[in-house]
Amino acid sequence: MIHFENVGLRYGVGPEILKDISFHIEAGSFHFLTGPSGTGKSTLLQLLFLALRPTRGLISMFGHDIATLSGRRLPRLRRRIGVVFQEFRLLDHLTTFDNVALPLRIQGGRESEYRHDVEELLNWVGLGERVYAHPPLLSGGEKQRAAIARAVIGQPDLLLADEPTGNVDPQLAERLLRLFIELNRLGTTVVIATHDHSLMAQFEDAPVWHLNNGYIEVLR
Amino acid sequence: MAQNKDHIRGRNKTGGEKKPEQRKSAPIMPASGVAGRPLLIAITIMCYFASVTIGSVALITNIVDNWTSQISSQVTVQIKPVGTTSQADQITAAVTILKATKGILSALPQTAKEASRMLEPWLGAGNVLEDLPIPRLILVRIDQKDPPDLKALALKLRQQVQGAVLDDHSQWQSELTRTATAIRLAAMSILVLVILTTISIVIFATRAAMAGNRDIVEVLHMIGARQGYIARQFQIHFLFLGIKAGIIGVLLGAGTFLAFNFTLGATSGSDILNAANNAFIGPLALHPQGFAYLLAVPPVAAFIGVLTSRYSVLRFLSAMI
Repeated sequence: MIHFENVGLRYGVGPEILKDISFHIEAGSFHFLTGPSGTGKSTLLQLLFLALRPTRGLISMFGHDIATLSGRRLPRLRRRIGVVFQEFRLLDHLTTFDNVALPLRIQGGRESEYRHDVEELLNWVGLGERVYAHPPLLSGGEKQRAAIARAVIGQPDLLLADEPTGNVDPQLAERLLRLFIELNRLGTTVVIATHDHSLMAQFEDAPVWHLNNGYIEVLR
Repeated sequence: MAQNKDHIRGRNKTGGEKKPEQRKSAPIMPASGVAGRPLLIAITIMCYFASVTIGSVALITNIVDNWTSQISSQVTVQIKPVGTTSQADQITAAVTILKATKGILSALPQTAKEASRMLEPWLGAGNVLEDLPIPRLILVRIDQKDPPDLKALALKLRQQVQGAVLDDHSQWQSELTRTATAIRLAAMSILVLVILTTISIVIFATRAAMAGNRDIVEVLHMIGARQGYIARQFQIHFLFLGIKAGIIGVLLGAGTFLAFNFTLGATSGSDILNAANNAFIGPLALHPQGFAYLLAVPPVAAFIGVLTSRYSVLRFLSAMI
């Protein structure tokens, strides 16, 4: 589904952040991405959710060579990817409901068509009572769950999460991991960037990629 | 505390909880972040300038048309008191020739009383015509559909009536038309400048809105919104802003012209200059058709807003992959 081959990335004339990154992600797989801060985990995720183009190497996603794909065709690919940003990136002027429904709304969906699905998902992530609250009034954990709900509402083929348990207590972190595992069982490919070793320990079947000094290695 | 605030947010104006089916999705791009009050004021001022300029062009055009039709439908024969023939005989001879010419509707010699009254402001009351060798005028109305050969007529009058000179006002008309055209061009230039300034304001406003709402734009971009969809979120605000500013600007502009019409348009004939003004260039008042032209301002302002904001947003987004 996703193939990286000798991918390198540098910003401007600066040093190379990612060096010779090569890996293959099978559809329906589950991966952890770890490594010290500042080693390029978020940058790698940005390449995966098509926010950046590599300065060298080949990236193939969903059967398309990203280097040759025109800008007009990228939105269609992005809709197949759900992203949980480290800083949530919820829109403060929209309610939790509208934030979560955003991916469906931009695809032209009507509220009457998606309201049930959104409310059901919000109940599932424990935000059933906070449907019409605005993000500034949500706790860190609630924001995290809203961001995850927004990432999965469109039933993406690939879910990318950057430190999804960074702002929550261990119990909630475990609950969120169960949510990701459940999504993975339903067919979604999951890549989670995290520092949280206890989280990785809870799902020992998932391979762990370690990023250090711009190089990637498989730990398990 | 947070719960309380949330509780308040969830209430409608009547104090009851908003049920999901009653609530409407908020706009993805908040209006306040795109088109705030300062921008509304700036665009309104531009629309006001545009309205005043369009109205002025309409007014000048009307005056020029008035000049042209008035001047081209009338000529004047001037009878100078020369030679031994009396001026009255000269006038009679000239009127006879004029009435016999095809294409002349009427030839009315100015009476001595009218001539004296016309000169009164400059020469004072008295027996001016007898004391001074002042020419007399014959006002000639010509048939615009079948006008006479004015050159041949001028030659005939000069040959047969001593001291008769035909003035077809052509020099005066061309001078006035040239001046009017220059004024009109200046007004059109102002209109172009107003449009360009409005475009610049919208470009800057869109850039500011893009910078202020960068988070929203990036999130929309990342979740797969097409560039056109993101641009529409801005366009819709500039559409309403253009219409709103256009309507206010037009109302202010129309108000200005109404005040202008009230103070300068309705001049009476008591003052000889006003009477001459009314007779020659017409009333200095914007006609109803001129007011109708102002109605073009809101849609044009909205169009400029929509098109410019779309272009700016797409240009900004093209820098993102």
